[in-house]
Amino acid sequence: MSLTMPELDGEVLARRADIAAALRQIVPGEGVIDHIDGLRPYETDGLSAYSQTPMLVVLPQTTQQVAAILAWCSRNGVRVVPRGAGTSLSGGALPLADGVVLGLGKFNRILEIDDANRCAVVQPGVTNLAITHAVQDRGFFYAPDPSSQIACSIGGNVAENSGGVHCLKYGLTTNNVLGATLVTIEGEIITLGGKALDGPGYDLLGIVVGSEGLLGVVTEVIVKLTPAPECTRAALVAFPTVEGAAQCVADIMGAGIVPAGLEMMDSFAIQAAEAFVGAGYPLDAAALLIVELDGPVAECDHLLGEIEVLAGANGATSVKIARDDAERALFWAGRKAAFPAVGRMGDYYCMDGTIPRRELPGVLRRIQAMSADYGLAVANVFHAGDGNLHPLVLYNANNLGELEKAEAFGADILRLCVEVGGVLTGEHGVGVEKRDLMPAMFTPVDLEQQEALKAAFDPAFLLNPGKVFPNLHRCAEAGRVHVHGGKTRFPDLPRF
Amino acid sequence: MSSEALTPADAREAAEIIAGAMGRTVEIRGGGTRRAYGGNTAGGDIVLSTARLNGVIDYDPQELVLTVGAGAKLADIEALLAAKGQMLGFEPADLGPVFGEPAGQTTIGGILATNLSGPRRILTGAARDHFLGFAGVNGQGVAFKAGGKVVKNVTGFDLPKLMAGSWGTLALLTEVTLKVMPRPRAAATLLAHGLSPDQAIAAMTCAMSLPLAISGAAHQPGQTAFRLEGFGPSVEARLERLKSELASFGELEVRNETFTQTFWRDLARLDFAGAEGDLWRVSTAPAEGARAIAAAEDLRVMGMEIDWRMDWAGGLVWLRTPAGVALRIEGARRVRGEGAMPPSVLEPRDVLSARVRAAFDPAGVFLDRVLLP
Repeated sequence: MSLTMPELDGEVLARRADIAAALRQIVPGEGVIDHIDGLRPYETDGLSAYSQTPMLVVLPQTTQQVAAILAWCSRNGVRVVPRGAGTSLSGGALPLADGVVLGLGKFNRILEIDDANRCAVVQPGVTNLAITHAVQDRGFFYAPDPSSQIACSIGGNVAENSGGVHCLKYGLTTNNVLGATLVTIEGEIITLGGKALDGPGYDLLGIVVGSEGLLGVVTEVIVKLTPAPECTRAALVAFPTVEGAAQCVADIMGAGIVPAGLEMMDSFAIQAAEAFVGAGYPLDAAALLIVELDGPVAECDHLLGEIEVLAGANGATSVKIARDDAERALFWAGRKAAFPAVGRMGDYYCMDGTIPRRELPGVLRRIQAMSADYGLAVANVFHAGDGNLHPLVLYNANNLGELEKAEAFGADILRLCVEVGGVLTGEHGVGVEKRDLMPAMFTPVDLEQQEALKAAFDPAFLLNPGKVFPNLHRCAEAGRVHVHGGKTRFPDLPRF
Repeated sequence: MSSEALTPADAREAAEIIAGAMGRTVEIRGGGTRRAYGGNTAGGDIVLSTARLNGVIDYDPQELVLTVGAGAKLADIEALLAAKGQMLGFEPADLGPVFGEPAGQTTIGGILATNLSGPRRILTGAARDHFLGFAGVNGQGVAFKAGGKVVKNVTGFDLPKLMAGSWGTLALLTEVTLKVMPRPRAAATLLAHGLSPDQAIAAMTCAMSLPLAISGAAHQPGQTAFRLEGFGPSVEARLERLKSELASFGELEVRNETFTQTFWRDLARLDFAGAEGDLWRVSTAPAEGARAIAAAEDLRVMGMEIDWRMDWAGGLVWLRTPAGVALRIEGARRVRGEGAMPPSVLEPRDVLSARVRAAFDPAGVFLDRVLLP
């Protein structure tokens, strides 16, 4: 696979030993890695199709060290790739051969839990799930729940504006972060936001969240805590047609019901998941919905009743309500196993577009038509409530040219998402993966405006260059989330 | 100083006006209802009104997404949405009368540009959280777009967040896309009587820590209010739980939907502030809300006529004082009154913010404003 990255700076590479020595002045001892064995673990992130050994890795422990590192790199023209847990699905943390990877793994402390203000102050290397674990005995949780939450870091979540199944009800990272400490490439330490809901000045926090490591390095985050719901219930609803399921989703949302999660699987995904985990999915269904509700018991019971009515009105063939948490977990087991289940059949490659919900049936039809044209099967799983699609294109990497065909198919799917009024990525980020598709959604002028903002933070484009913006080149199509033989870089992480 | 007022019919005309400013400043004006907010008195050489950029571009109620011209009036949008049983979840209100302007003029572009949000913010987020995408014109007269028209999108920088609260200093918004919400089917308010500001903070902190989806938590002299919205059986169940949790706070009273509508609308509109005197806004960590009120009450002891409202579970305090009072309260900003701004907020802006501004408006064509929430 070819991916063009910023032109290698030979002059920087020639100074590698000096750069390592300079960084050791800031972070002594093992905090600077320059041996090949130590660098290898940083070669790739969750988008394992791409790898690149970084020039150096530096693992600071304090905000002051981060500031000194960035200031030094800025003065000396050295590129920097920030890295959290390295679980990005879009290559956001892909290293550069002439760049320093700045790992935030040592920033792993929860600094403060503020019950009265319903927030927590955490370091960026803390995992997403660790925040919930730290606050759950106080009756709170941290709402965004990307499927990699056991491993992904909150700093990475901020960089990617991560979502998750429950973002339908609770919002993305950007809606759940109150403040951050940002270090600019010039080494300036800036406090953004805080425990108050708003302050004077531009909403720089809002622009930093989701900026994919291009604007600065976050060394502290204030996250909003949400009271844990009284109960959680789920229903499994089967439909003979995709149209019926899609209309049911529209009706549920239109009725003012905001499920905690609202997932859809198509026939192929149902078959694959059922064969893999035996969740009890009806194999004759054309589409399956998992509707999860959380809240007071009275509310969940009432809404399950409303959902049954809406499902019936849209031709549902079965509505199964989980009797207990064990059965609810089983409903989810199939959905969560969809990726590995499809992975058993060969290599797959996962897309992440969002479309207006009304376009769902039409888009699915066109994806099926493309599937026939390309001669590649596709399984569809979606976060249906917000129109976020995850089509999984199956291919065999051993067949010459099939990988490229799968990539072309994937790019066609994303262009289709944009064509019907949607976007290239709902939650995985642009990274290197969708970088070269950005012109499908944005004009050169739109992109220039975003790059001008990038330059306001990072005038020399030293922070994470080669990501998000396609201006390096227009020829090569980037690859995407390729999974070979069901193996991902993080095989134990659920991906849904 | 007289200004030239221009009302472009579309983004292209607007871009021509901005590109042709030739060293004159451009004041972007929606309804003009918060022109005086924060003590801004200076006007631009050219006034660019969004009055004609007011069309409904796309509204499919099932999508829960609305795209309109930035000059669309809040009242018109509310009527459009209400006809389909929907609303703007962040509860913006018409503050015109509070700032000496007629009612009914507030535009959606102005609301987004100032990130104006009402009591429901504590549950559903601020204007910024509902602002999905836009088309606009930067200070060089270049039309561009950002964000998207779907609720879940991480493609490129989240420029709508930056535009929210930028007070027209970065770009003219011509077209905006917002997330909309179904109106709740039922609503009720629980009142606690006779609490001090400190006790009210304690009650609100208690309530907000429970999974009750409280969509309004406010306190005014002698009265603390909690709003619950949603499906009937759910509202009832949550109301019972809230009553039992707050039982130790004294006398509680459940009020019906009609009261609920009026009470929270009046709070969102800042009716208590009237049109006279100075108005201060204090943004603070919610648990600290009572401090600002204690400081304000000192003025009452000194014989001054003051009033206040605490919203956002304590995170937002509005104070009305006689004109010209100097108030030293951390985080307090005078938003109505002469010489409203302490100079430190006016300038110099930090270097990064200045660079951000220059990324959109390098020549400083758009009127400089105090960036106040």
